[in-house]
Amino acid sequence: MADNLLPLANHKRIDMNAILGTPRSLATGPGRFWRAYIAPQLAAFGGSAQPAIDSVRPDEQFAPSASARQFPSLFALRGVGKTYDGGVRALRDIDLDIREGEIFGIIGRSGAGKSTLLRTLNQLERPSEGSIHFEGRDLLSLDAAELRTVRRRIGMIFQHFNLLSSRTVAGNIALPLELAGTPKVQIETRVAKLLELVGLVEQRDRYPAQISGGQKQRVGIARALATEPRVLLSDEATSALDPETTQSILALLADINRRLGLTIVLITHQMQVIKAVAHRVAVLDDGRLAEQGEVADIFTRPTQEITRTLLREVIGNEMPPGVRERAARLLDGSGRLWRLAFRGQSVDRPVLAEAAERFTLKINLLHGYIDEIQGLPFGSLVVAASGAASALDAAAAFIAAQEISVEELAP
Amino acid sequence: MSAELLNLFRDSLLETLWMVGVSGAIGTVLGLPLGVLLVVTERHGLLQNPPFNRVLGALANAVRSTPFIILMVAVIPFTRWLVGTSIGTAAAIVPLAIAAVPFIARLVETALREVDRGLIEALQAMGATPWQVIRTALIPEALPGIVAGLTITLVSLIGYSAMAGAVGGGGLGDLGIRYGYQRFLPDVMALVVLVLIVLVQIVQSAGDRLARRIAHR
Repeated sequence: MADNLLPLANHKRIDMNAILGTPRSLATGPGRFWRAYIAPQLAAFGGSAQPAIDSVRPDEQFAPSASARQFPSLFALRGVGKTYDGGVRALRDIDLDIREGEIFGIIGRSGAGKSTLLRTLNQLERPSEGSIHFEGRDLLSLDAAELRTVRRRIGMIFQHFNLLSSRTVAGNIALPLELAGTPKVQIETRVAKLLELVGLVEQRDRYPAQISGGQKQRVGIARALATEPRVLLSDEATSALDPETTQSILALLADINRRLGLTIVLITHQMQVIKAVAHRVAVLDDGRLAEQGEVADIFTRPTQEITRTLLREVIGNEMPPGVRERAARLLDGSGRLWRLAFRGQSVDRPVLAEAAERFTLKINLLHGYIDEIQGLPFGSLVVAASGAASALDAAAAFIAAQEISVEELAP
Repeated sequence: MSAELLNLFRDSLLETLWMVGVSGAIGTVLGLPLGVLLVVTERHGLLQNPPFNRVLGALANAVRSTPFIILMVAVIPFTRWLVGTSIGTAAAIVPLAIAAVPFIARLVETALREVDRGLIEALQAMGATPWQVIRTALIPEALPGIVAGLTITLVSLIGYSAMAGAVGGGGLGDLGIRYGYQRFLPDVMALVVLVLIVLVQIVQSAGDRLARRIAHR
């Protein structure tokens, strides 16, 4: 607990945090989380500004402690490694920072260590080396009771939902609250709100066997949110669902992230999932962190082969074989084959038309796509350009000057 | 069949029900926690303790590998110390309960093993204590299997109780041996067999129905 804030009442401390906080924490930090989510809940519980479910979470959560300021990220992993008993190294030297309020994706092929990495975040998997800090606290130094308290602030959803078949939808959602010793009346109010949040009010008395996969995952999400966690861990939450249901679950996660400011860490082997919801992404390959960064950057400028391979499923940056043949026919020995990579505003400019006009070139469009991530358009076009050699050189330079990368391909 | 014989029949049936009921209840009370312990103390279990687990497993196997007729005789000193006699229904309950405990423990163990590990992981991720995991996930999820196991146990106990009758334990087995066999009354023997068949049928179908009702799969 920060000493300078101690004399203030609990709810004042939260205001102080909003005032003292960095612009980032103003936007997505605990202050917003409190206002958007906790405070209305508490009002429903009886209007108290004090956290009603005191046993669930110590109140230091709402005001970052001094140590939390030293670790601005929600999770800070340093040199994390995991070697299993048999000598299998699942993770090596992972450095990762997960920021408050973001959706952080971890992608990799099966066996890359994604699941192990995610499970180190709530200590279902204990790393063999390195350190993990959550809200500035060293997770590895916690005793069993402290760890249980911390785990209530880290919700988790699973690929196979892991719902109790012996409990109804409402019973499953109530479970974490029962475990935390929340009074019955509060549990009922809270479950009703959560059912509404995930759109399952009518299914409240059904058993998991009587609802669809997408509905089961919604129960999983409601259950994970029951103790008002700070972060949601998602373990391949959409991998067992059909594409349409996947979209609706991803939309729900994105909505929860936006409305509640809840941090989400998700692992997946599907690039579409990353593209649909993640803000930042880490690519895991054979237990190592191949690369990480903003999703838009990783999508448009992947530096690692593994990333390119994973990206192939969402963007057709692989040229169909017929393209080269058509290029050879069109160019007939002269001219050039270019691959142009666009991103951001450069997509909107009529660069090709301008280049064709200015340098009197003939430009044929052979292959391409334009897509969007996080509102940022990006694309790649393969074009065959024919004209005078000097004009072609000048055109290439002109296009490159418009923030479009030009790669010359062998026809 | 004389009214006297019918009375005898009724008393024998009640004795059998009593022996099976009491030994089954004792067996459940002791066998259920034992079965839970067998699961949670194994390697990578919730409360892993492999040495303890091995000792417990060996004990359960020792009792289970002793034929019931031998077990019954072997525990006579204990029976006599506990209930004051080695003859009669109360005395028969002691070896029946002793046999039932590891039997139920193993069946409970099997049922608990069927519970998806993911559920246990989910509970742990919620911050559940090992005891909470056992109470709220492990046992409720395994309950249909446990009920099926208890049904099997009751059916076996009905068989065992007839054996107890052979050494003076009372019940339908006793009736069959003394009247049906030793006094050459084949109709009594046939009736004993018939009643046992009906009894087992009732227990089995009631158990199946209960297991189905509590399973929401």
